Amino acid sequence: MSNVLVLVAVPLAVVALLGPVVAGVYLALRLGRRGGTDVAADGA
Amino acid sequence: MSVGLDHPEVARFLGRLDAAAAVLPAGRREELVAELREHLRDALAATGGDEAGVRQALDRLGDPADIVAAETEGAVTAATAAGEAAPGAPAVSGSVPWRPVPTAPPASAWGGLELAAVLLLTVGMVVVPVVGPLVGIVLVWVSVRWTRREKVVATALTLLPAVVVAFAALAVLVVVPVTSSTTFDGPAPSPVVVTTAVPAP
Repeated sequence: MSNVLVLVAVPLAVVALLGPVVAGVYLALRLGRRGGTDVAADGA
Repeated sequence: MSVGLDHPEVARFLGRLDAAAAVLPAGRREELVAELREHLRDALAATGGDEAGVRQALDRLGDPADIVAAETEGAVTAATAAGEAAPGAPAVSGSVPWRPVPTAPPASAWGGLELAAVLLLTVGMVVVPVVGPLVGIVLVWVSVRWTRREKVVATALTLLPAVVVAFAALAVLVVVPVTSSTTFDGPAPSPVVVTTAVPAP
């Protein structure tokens, strides 16, 4: 039973840890590609 | 013969410059016109007074409308002869072209807010788990540099895995007690011997 727990919990924990990292990289890439333009004003 | 700013071609250029620069703020307009007049005066003094030199000096400046258009983008300034010549470059006799040069670095997408948000989401997840990314997401929503769609995607990428893990953990906690309740921890039961009475013939 413990083996099953490890097999399930470890990947899920890794995914949970990587989520914010992926989000940060995504935002950085978007910002880098677009440049310094304020986008909130146009409600985009 | 020396040619001054009263030369017809020069006066026409300055008139067009004045008209085009009307869109600029008063202070910047006066500054721009003064810079160009000074530059023109120097350039014309170096031409020797011939018409070709005047024409060349004006051509080097370009169209007044283009100069003002570049100025409205905040990316141009007057180049002075000595100050912006490339080091080691040979001295150019005659007029020095007035050319647009960047006065400031291009607007960077990276403000302090954006940098902090990305760092909290990436490095913060390791250094300050849970709290770091949550603060990072708040900063992302405060920033005006990302679109609403990008903010939603980033929030989903951050929170959804945590939610999935939470549900998975809950499911495991529910399943484990059920499974363990089926185990038997007591002493092994003694075998049951079933004897069948065989009727006597």
